[in-house]
Amino acid sequence: MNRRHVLSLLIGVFTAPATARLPAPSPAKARRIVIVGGWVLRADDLEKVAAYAA
Amino acid sequence: MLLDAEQRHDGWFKEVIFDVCICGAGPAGITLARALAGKGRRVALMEAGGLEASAQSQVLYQGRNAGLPYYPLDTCRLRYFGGTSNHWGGYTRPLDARDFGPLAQHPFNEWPIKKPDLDPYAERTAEILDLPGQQPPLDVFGGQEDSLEPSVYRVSPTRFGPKYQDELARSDRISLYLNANLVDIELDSSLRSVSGLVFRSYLRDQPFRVRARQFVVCCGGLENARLLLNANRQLPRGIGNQHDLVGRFFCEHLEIDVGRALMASPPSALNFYIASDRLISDRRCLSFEVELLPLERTEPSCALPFPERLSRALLEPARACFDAVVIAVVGQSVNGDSRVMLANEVDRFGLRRLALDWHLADIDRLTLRIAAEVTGRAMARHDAGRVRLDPWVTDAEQEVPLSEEAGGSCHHMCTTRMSHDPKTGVVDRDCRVHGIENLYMGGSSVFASPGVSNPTFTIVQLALRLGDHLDARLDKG
Repeated sequence: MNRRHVLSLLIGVFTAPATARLPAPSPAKARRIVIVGGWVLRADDLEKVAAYAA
Repeated sequence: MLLDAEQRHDGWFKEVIFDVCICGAGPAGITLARALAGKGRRVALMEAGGLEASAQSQVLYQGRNAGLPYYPLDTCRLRYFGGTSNHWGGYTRPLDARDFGPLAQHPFNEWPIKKPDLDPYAERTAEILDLPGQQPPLDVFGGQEDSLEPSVYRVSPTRFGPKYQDELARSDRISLYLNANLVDIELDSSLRSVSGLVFRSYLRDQPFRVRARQFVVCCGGLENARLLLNANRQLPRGIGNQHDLVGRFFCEHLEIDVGRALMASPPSALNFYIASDRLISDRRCLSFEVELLPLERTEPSCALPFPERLSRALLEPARACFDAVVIAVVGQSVNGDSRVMLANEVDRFGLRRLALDWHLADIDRLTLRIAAEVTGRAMARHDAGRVRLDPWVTDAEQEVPLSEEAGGSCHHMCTTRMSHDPKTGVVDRDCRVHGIENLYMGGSSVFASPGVSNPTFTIVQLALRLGDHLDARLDKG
């Protein structure tokens, strides 16, 4: 199981390929709070993690 | 004057009528005795143990847990001079105004007194507890979070026994008797007034009586109820128990780990936050407190910047470097099914032992989960950190994790709760047992509801207030 697979299990909704070219999240998205796999996160955390995993 | 009941002779008690006989020399009993002596009253202060812990005394606290998992009943409390202050943590602060209720979603939490009734005793309480000056609270949210308000505890170094032993021994107003175990409360023929308390020591079979004009039982939140229930020779249901309320409403401060926090700036010390009024109203929960307890960080990844640590934690949870434990503290709702009862087993003095049937209500569980979620959201919203909630928090099917080692705070409250109405409480607003003219209860058993703050500050305030009340009553004859 690679990192991305772990991540996909973790966030459940992860599908997009993670690249450094991802657009910067909007302020509204950054403020949105999601609970994923027990973590209380900002919505843009998922994109940052995806970028890190890539 | 310091006396050992094992060494007593007949003349000690036969001719003496004290102004007040106080049973139990912990924070409540010692504070009350000193307050009354300061007003010139003659006080008998009866302590069941000695000056040091002993097995012969401590074993009398053994009992049975019949409800939710809970600490062994003889480990939470200490049965010797100074009482449980001999091992308390010292974190203390007064109740907040809203703790006196009523709360819309739980109106039964209302006290018959309010914060202004206790405020006049706050300064003396702080002196008694040797509290340091108030420090500004720590706040990882920088004052920007509406739902959680930073709070602060002060830490008392005071052990009541060592601190006050010499003063009590020198006092010509206070007679402190050690090894005096209360075994009965005797009523006069009207059954509305106490004529004397009956005690036994460990080495001598013959009981002895102490007479006084007023009597106060200050033996702790569990034992106060047990003693009233055991005093059933003249009133078969026990004293003050005409409405089957003695021992009911047992409350604890739930203190439960709800998650781990990975933080942008790791906290340097224990942080405290309390729920805002608006949050409690909006979420229809109980008042709660959140603590951030710093963790020792040993993983090599702990040195990485926060965003990288977070990413690694999400990808490799087993190697996550967390900075703090998130702890939720909830003063549970007042619930008649949660109660102190008598077990069938008896102790060496023939008193039935304690059976604790502890229960929670749905609002207690809900409040713990809200506390966890709100903290996580606040952390993320302010980018102060991220919280990983413990699995039971997000799974409503899972029970709150309670065990014999964790879950409560050893704060035993509300078992002789205060109420204007004898049908909803055991003592009145002056801590007097309903239906008995001269019997009072001291300590956290009289709390009408637990609030969130640790109880000792309030226990001392109530003892000082009771001292004023008793002094005034004695003046009236």
